Amino acid sequence: MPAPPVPDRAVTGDLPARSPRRRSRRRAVVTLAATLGGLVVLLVVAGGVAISLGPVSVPPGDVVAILAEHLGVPLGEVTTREALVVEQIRLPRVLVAVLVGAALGLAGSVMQALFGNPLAEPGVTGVSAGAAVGAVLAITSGAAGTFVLPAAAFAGALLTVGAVYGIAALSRSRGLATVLLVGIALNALLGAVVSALVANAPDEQSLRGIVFWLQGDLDARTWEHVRLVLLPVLAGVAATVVFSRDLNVMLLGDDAARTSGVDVARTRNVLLVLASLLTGAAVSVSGVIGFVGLVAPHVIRLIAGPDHRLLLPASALLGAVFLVSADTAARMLPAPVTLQTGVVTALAGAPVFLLLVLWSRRSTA
Amino acid sequence: MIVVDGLRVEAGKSVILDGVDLTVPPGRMLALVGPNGAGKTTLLRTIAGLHRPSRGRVLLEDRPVHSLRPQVLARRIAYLPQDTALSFPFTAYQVTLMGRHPHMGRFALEGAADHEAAEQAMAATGTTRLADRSMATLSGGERQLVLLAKALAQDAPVLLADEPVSALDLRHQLAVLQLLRACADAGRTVLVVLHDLNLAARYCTELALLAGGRVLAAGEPAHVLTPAHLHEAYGVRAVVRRDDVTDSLTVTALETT
Ligand SMILES: Nc1ncnc2c1ncn2[C@@H]1O[C@H](COP(=O)(O)OP(=O)(O)O)[C@@H](O)[C@H]1O
Ligand SMILES: [Mg+2]
Repeated sequence: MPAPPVPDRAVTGDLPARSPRRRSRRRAVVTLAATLGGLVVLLVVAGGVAISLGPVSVPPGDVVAILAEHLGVPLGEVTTREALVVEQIRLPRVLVAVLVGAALGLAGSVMQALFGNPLAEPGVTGVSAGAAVGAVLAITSGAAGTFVLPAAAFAGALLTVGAVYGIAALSRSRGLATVLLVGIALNALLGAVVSALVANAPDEQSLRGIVFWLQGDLDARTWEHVRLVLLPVLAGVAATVVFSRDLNVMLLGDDAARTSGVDVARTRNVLLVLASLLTGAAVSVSGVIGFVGLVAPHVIRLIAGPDHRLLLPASALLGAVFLVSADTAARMLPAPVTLQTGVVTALAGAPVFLLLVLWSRRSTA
Repeated sequence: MIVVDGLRVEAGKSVILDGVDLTVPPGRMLALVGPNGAGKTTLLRTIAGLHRPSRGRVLLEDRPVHSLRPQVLARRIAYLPQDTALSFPFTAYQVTLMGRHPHMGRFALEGAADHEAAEQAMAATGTTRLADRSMATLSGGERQLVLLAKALAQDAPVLLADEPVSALDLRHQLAVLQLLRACADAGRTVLVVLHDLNLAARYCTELALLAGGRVLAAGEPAHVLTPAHLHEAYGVRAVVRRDDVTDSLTVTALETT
């Protein structure tokens, strides 16, 4: 350690040109560009493959031509049948997967940051369970339609968020631990309600509908669904990204964050509600889909570090890539096997997660 | 300048601080000393705006700290907590840069000035070689030095440090206290919680001895560090002598009473 320096703002001229910090700064910019760029390329490829594969196979060239025509760039002739399949069936389904995956990846990384715990997932406050109750009620009452089902699910999610806050406020300690405990209790309670509704399902068909919803599936998603989820997701992404540097500082703990200029209580409340609504909006159109929100932030943190200015958008992109790929896999499984999208995300996500746990344990040990 | 005026702080039903008055002008370095549980941390946190007093107030340049927005307050007061848990693997340099948070706009990236402040703070605390290490892999003392670097990078006229040398070796204890001393000499207001009374007497022009949530004595070391005060605060029999080498007071505790 050198002699006492003068740690005043009036000191020092320029840095040495090759300072180690300068290099690490450049590295940070390169990591950011490479990660986000790479993920965008991955997403485009995964989306293109998803649109091209299916019972009616559409060659990649035709996919590009069809999409280009919609953007006003005629590239060549395609059959109307292909165009219809792409426009009415595959494209909306892929877009729903992108939006839902992005919402879950983002909500997962926000929840993990807020709770300072890499095991937090988007449904930690009970929103997914609340959405499930809403959806199951809609299905058993026979009211489920393209619009009613997501609306009922979202209403369930909203009520749950309200309940979490109401109960936490009543307990007078609005600390995070309280929110977590209330979330655990609500998850258990709402899970029991869902089980009761399942046990008393009026008929075989609603039972099937319920099981499908609870496992999460993107079958028969239309432009209507895209419209339902587009605005909430875009707004949520924009709003959470605003707080990305605050999230970094909040990981130093409440005291350090507040004395570094973060209004911890307010930021936390805003982000909890935002992430919960984002999750609610996503599962409302897709059903409950696990592991996307848990795994995506982990992978990004491992390859690009914990800075939320990169972590948030990258987790959203990776969540989208993951869900689009899982949904394509679910669709393309050979004949006798049928798996739902949510089952594939768990089947693929759980082993990946285990590997990550082993890997990170080893590298920190 | 920090003025603490008739401060009373309660938590639940217990009174933690009562009737605390203190004034620390710019350019001074005040050591808060006192036994475990005396209320040192609570006092520092209240000055940092983290605790709302139930009576009295803390004034920063004549304005109550509780009326200031966190960002405004953080530009004026930097606070080094007693311990900090960090659950995600930020590097030491990233943590130091976080000290620049209150100076940056919401969408701004760190500019050259921010990087300069962070590099300088790391150089000053001798942590430059740790810059690219993950905070999780640092020793307790190294972590404390990095968090001090973060507080310095914050570049605030008031610096509050809660036991900044408790995890440090001999050399780093001296180095950190010299550094804080230099901050005060450069015109900042420094409040530091210390357990080592000898270091406190050597580096600080003023001491405040806290016991049971009250200020037992405050002022220059010779006034505060008396056998009677030490007996009352710590419950020990102690002798206080002037050390020829450092020309400051030294305390030797002989036995508990
Ligand atoms: N939130 C709290 N609720 C109740 N008692 C508290 C709380 N925080 C601190 N205390 C009590 O206040 C006293 C002073 O604590 P503290 O300021 O941490 O002491 P010091 O830093 O001097 O060791 C201790 O007796 C401690 O147990
Ligand atoms: Mg303390």
